[in-house]
Amino acid sequence: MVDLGILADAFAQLWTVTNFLMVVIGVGIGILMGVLPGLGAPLGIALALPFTFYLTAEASFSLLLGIYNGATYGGSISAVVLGIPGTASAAAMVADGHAMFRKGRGDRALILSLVASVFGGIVSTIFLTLLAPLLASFALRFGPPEYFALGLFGVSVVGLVAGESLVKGLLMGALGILLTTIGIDPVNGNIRYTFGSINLYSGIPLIPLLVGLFALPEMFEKSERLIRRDIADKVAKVRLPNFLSLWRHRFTLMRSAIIGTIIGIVPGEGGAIGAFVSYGEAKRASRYPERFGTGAEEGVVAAEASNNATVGGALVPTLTLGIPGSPAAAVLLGALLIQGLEPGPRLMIDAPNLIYYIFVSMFAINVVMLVLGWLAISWAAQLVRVPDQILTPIVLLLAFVGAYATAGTTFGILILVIAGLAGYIMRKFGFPIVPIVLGFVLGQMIEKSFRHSLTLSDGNLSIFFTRPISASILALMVIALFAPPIYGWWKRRRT
Amino acid sequence: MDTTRRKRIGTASICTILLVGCAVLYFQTYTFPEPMALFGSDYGSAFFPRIMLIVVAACTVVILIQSILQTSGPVTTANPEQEIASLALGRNELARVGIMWVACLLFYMLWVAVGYVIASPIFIVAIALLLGVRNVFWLVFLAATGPLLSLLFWYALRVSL
Repeated sequence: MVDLGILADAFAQLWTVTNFLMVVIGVGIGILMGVLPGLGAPLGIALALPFTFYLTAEASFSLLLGIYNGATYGGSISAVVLGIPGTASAAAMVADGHAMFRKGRGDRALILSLVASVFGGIVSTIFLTLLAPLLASFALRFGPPEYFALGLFGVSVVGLVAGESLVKGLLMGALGILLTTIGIDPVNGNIRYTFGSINLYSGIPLIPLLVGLFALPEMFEKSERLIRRDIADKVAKVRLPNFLSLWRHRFTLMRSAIIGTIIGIVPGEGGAIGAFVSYGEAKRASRYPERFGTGAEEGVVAAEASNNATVGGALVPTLTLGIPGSPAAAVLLGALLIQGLEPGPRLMIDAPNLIYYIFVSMFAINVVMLVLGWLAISWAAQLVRVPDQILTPIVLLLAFVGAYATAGTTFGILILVIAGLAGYIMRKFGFPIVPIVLGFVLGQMIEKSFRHSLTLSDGNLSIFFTRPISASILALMVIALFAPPIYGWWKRRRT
Repeated sequence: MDTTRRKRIGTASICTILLVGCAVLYFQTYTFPEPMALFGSDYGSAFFPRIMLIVVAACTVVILIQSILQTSGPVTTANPEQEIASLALGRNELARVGIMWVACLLFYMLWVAVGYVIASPIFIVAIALLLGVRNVFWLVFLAATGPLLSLLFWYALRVSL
């Protein structure tokens, strides 16, 4: 049940100078990160995380969610103008969007994608606002065994969907959890794995690790092949659309927004999957499916509405259960830790004002995105001219500065450099990064819950299987992990 | 060397390093303080790390066996073309990445030795030169970025770099 009193307070909080400014700045940076191919929401959020150290929780999430939404939309600009999706989730609309651009209807494609993105974002925010309190009230029944089961479920499922191989995903998740055992034991205060280094007493610092795993490998990969992008034609001045002409896409918009929200709730690569599924559905339902791929407006609308709808959807499990719905949401969990909050079911109890503020700011972000996106379309399309050779050194420097600023010592930079090399090598050989991040974020909670549960049960492991909620979560985890390979084996036997 | 073979060797190497690391860390757990017997049970500081080390080692062994048994052939990932392109790097590309990483490490050392304001322009110009930037305007612009960031952090966030 939505608490209207807290919602009203949150709305009032949004209208402070700092918070609203962060919304605007976040959306602006996000659109920029989305426009420039190869950057995107997870990297943008990771680079902005160090700055949130010095902001309040509300301002932090205004900034980070602005980046998340802005980047998710921004990828469509380079998709339309250059035919190169700025983000993976913009890939579904490249064919139709760029075709419209080549036919001289680029401004129409850009404004359609903007309006569809905003619509999708608002619909998913409504779902987020209604669903999250319901899920959170259910999560009030959670005790240490349930927290343990949930943490394990989250890391396992993300490990399953994040990479090419289940075992590699699980390995990375386990590694992330193992990294949290460095430093002081959270239960009895003993020192572990510091090897005499005083810098490791408080464990591996989160931000340098996150930034190192996301930003540095991305920049190293960019340096492998120095691609020169063709100079984009100047985009004509973009006029506001005839809203009646948008009305004919109403069914596509609503259907795609709902599909995107539902797919966003499921942990995984929500944006890209949501966009492609909606695109496919729109094509199937269209009276002129043969036009898809050659400049169909419905293709652009369907992909973009779903794309941004996954953002709100991904926040549902992230905020209520501590299980990220997307890689960007996994990085967002780091922001909670910076603010001294523990991700998980208790978040709604410990920080209800923040959660409701997030709902309100998501609405504001989408409205601001409509305005900023329209203003940005003309100049943002020119930004894709900026060569990677200029961007890469700047992003690297930002990563270093961010790592130092949050760690407070140059030890953070060392962690950044080591994590950067490890992340690059892991990515090269198909070991996914997102599970290690999630394992690191949830690791302490998993360990504390596990050991508290065993203390409660006097060492009896059956506590995890005799409590109904814990047993159900673990059963779901087993099904999620083993059903795909068993189904694949059964299918191969049949053929 | 074809990309499949390169991937197998790389995966096997990573797994070997992880297994050795797990063994070292497992022995290290014997240096942790003994668990105290209080009401109920305290499994001690070594208990959870040992479980995670066993899980990591088990996953690593499975991946190692998979990579050894895998025969040469088509790569079976969701995006095989991207993966083949990703692994099919020549010496120049790998050297560039290697030098870039070494530059990052040297930047860290230089930062510790002489401070951020002096180290950052050297680092950013070096990276730009490595990536092929030769335009003086861009090099000067990039060199100025470092000290400008320092000013931004000091005046906006009161953080001294």
